Amino acid sequence: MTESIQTPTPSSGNARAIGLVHPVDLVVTLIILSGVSYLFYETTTFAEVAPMFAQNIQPSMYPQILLIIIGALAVFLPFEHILLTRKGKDIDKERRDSIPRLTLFTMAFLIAIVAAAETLGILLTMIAISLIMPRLWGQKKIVPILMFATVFPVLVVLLFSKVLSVYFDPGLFGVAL
Amino acid sequence: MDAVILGLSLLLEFDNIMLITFGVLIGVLVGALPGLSSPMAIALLTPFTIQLEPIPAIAMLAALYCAGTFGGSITAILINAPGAPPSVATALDGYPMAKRGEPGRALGLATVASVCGGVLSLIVFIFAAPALASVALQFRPPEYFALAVFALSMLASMTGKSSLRNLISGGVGVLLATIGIHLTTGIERFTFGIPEFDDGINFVPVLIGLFAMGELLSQSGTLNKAVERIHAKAMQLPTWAELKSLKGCILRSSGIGTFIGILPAEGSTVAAIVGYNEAKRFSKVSHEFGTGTPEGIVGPEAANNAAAGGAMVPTLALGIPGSGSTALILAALIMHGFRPGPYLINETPEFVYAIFGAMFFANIAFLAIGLVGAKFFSLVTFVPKNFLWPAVFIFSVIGAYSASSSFIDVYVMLTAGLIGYFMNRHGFGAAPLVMGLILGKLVEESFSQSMIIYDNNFFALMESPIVLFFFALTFINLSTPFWTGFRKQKANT
Repeated sequence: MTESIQTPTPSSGNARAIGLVHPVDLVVTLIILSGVSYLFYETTTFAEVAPMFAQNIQPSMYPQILLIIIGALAVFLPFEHILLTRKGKDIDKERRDSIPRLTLFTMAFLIAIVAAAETLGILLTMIAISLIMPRLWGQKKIVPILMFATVFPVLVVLLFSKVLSVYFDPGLFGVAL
Repeated sequence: MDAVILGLSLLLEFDNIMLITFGVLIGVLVGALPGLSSPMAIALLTPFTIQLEPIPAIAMLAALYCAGTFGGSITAILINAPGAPPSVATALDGYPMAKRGEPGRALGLATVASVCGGVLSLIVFIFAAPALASVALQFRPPEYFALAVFALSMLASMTGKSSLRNLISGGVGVLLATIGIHLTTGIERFTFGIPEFDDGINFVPVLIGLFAMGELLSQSGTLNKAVERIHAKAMQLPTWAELKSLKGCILRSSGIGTFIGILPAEGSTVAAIVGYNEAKRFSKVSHEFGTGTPEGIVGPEAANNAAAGGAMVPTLALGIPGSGSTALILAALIMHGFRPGPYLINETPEFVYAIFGAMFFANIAFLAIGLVGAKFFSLVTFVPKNFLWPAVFIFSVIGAYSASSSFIDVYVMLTAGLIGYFMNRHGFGAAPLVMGLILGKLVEESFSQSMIIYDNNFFALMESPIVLFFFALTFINLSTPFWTGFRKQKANT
């Protein structure tokens, strides 16, 4: 017996015009190279030690070698699609569609709740996640959300604080079990 | 012999049996739930194992690892959505067989093949790991450096779309391992004034972020995806006659899986794909592949479970992860204060036997779980995503926080998750980054020590034949994609 649930999402599937240089990968390369350049600059600010003490290996040497390797590899990224296409691989499959709105909202929620976690304390943070996130992800029925937000965080706190001796920060409001 | 008895006796304690059973159940559960995976479960559970004794903690994670590989086949067969990447190939014939009304048979074939592959690879593991460790005792820093470079080069052939992106991910992982105070000179590197980074970046929040948070964000884009579910009433074990006809395929795939598992960085997914392809190549009914043929199920299933045992060989014997999941087990070992490698096996051999026992137990437990719980585990896919993933997020926050009771780790976890999402979107794998992070310290330490030994003359490293051997393998490994591309182009023109 088979059962179908929910409706499929339509895919926009807009093809990118690709020449010798892949435009998206060019942007990715530029981001990587910017990061590499910044970190390379950062390595030049590392304190130096006397050659005898450093045994000829300054603390900046190894990260600099790594950064050069990463940068050198990244330079090939915009051209890699030529080899991948020849192998029948579609590097754009996951990124062809723009980032879904729900993903962007979820990212914003994760950042907001983690930023507030220190103030709220772990228990209140868990309750807030259990209340807001199912709603954000399309759960319309309030009763299951309320049940989830009450029972799940309490069970988690009891399990981890009593059985595994995990310390839960009560936050500025001092809420803990 | 004392070590065997001591190692296995540790597993006979009631608490430890419960822990391993818990690991198996969680493994099958996360394996069965699409999106959740055994690496994610290992990453989430690792911080909580700090309260446990090291051997039962690692044994539980090893059992989870085995069970997760098997669990993925349940959803691959019943809903055509592999619960874990190693089960991708199982879906190719498992789902068509289930769809034509034989879901119990498909599950039975997958279970028996998984058990056979898993047990056979463990037999190899128990002999190969100590033997490899005793060879590795001869290794000095230059040999270790060459071995680590070879392991990193293997990232190029790891599953994923692009060798280049895997290598960049691995390089970023190695770079992350340089955060903190430089051991030789005591100079701070990339700490950006955050005191919590002085001891280096904590593995656990990074692992949780990459595997759990990254996947959570990816799942938010698939909420409306259509799924067709096939209900399995019970698992149906294959008959003796059927098993006899499939034994060649199972043995071959088990061998392939174990060998691929032993190779650094190559995990169960590669093993399953090769296992499927070889099963098809040797089959008398290769034209029926893709329509629900038994060989198309047992081939990848025996191979992916065999790879789990094989991957433990370099992980424990050399301290070089055999796969993404074993990289996480390695991180757990480090968190428990062990330095994985030949000394671990030679000084605490009971450890290896305990892991062997736990994985053996896990493999046998599949059979029981498959027989009794197939119906239940097929139902877990009905857990609504809008409750499942908030629960995963809560566990991620607690897991990251409890690693050192610090909110900095929660911020690290979230940052890793956001970066992991974009990495995944652009084809950069999380597993290579984790392997780079785990191997990073070994690479730097062995490189520095080698430079000191050879007075900063890099080419003097080549005096060692073992170093030459590993560098040659590295060269072959890195140049293979270009040669194959060139040969393909030549063939086409």
